[in-house]
Amino acid sequence: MKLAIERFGTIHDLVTGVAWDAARLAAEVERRAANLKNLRPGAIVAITHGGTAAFFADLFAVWSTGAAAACLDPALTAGERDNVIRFCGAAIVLGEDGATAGPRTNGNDAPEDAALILFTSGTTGAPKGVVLSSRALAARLELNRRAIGDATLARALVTLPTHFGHGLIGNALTPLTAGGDIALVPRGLTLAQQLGTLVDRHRITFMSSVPSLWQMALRLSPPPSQHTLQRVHVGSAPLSATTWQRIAEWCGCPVVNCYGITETTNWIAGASTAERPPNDGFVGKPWGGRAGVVVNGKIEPMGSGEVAIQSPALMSGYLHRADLTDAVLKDGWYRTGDLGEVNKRGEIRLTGRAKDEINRAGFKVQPAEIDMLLERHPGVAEACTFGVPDSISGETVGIAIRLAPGASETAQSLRGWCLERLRREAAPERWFFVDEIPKTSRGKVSRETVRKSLLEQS
Amino acid sequence: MNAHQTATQILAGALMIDASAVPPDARLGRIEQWDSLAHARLLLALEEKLGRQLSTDEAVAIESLDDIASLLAR
Repeated sequence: MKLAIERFGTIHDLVTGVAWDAARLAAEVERRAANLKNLRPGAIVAITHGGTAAFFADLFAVWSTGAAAACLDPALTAGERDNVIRFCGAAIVLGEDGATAGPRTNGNDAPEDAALILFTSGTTGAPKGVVLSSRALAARLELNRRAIGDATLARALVTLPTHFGHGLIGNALTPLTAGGDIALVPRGLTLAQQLGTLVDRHRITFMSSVPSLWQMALRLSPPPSQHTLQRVHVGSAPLSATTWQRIAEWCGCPVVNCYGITETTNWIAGASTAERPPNDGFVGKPWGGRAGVVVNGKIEPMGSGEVAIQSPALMSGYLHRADLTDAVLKDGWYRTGDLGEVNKRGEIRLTGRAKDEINRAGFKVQPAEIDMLLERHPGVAEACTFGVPDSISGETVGIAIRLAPGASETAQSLRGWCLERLRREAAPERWFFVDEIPKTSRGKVSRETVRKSLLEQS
Repeated sequence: MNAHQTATQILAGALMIDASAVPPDARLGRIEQWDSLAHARLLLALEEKLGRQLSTDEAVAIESLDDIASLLAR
């Protein structure tokens, strides 16, 4: 992945207190790249830290060698991290404290031209790593810049984690490659409370976000008063028209409801309050590429059904998982698993989801992974994980548990057990203990059936 | 039910845990489940209970079970 670092803006890292302009960043990248010599093309380097200026220097150093970077969630448990690193066959692992040799084995290389690998799930079982090529990434950055405009990207606030495609590609790399500055800040409640102040103090022109940040910030932070914001993106989870409108009032600038998935290398489309009032599920027309819907197994240019996307910025596939790749990438189209409508102008409205993935505040959780983990617990006979609607995070992770005979596990004890093995955002929050997992009339476990029957009772 | 009991129930609902698992000295950040999302859920539940939106000052002041109880007792 080739980058013109000399044209980048400054990285203001408010977490560690450093500010690196393009010259300083280039020197850091060069210094780090010197420690990454002798990597073969197709090698993978795992980066296990994130959210700081040092992370970007490591990432750009990896790219300068021609290797692919696998950016891991720093909050993974040690077991999850080892599992993902082994699965990648990483040649080198870059942590906060520097480089260590990875467990790379022969024949485990990344696909040709791979630049970035982001894991969307499966850190306890067989990981699902989205492989993005240099070409796809370059195309997405270019399309984002054209859609947003370089002047608007002058100073960006990064509200999202850097192992998350939306945060890394949309919120950070898009402004940097446009010559803009980025401000890296502590997240969570601190960010929600200080959002207005941060926007004013750093004269922020652009930021992206997930809806749940606004559920907090609209209550906890007074709006900015300096009128520097020019454009704000919200994405990764459904945004109601009401919240969208309140965000636009708080920001005092156009707010864009974006549609993007890691598999489409971040944003594919967005609808702005500058063009029409907020409207539930409306995400506008694709920025480069086009949308279609799957009808009877074929892609149609309009209609309603599963949304499919064609774009110069689609993923190459899932790392070492041809089976999963073949199911979603066909004839140059990516099948998103999202349900929606595409109208005659090519605009998309999202209405629901065909896949059983859980979307917790923008972060995706694969329920089968959680079932398998819990079923390894000696006190659990059977587990069924499902999404529970939630006003703040969109969905939370719910689980039905049938205990083994004589087992005395509780929600508290099982959650504690999970947290030792699973990143926190995927650990179930709502626990339902049942004598039997509800089955469909054909005797199968359906997550939808389980969800409905348990939520109706509670 | 007094304000403290009501506060305990609302907090337990926001944290998605049993009311018996909420200690009387519960504070933001001291209970594993009381994270930023749970906190936002708590503020929303309080708004529903009070039937009005919280002011920013009120929302920012809530950091413990006692804070919730005193807001409800007002």
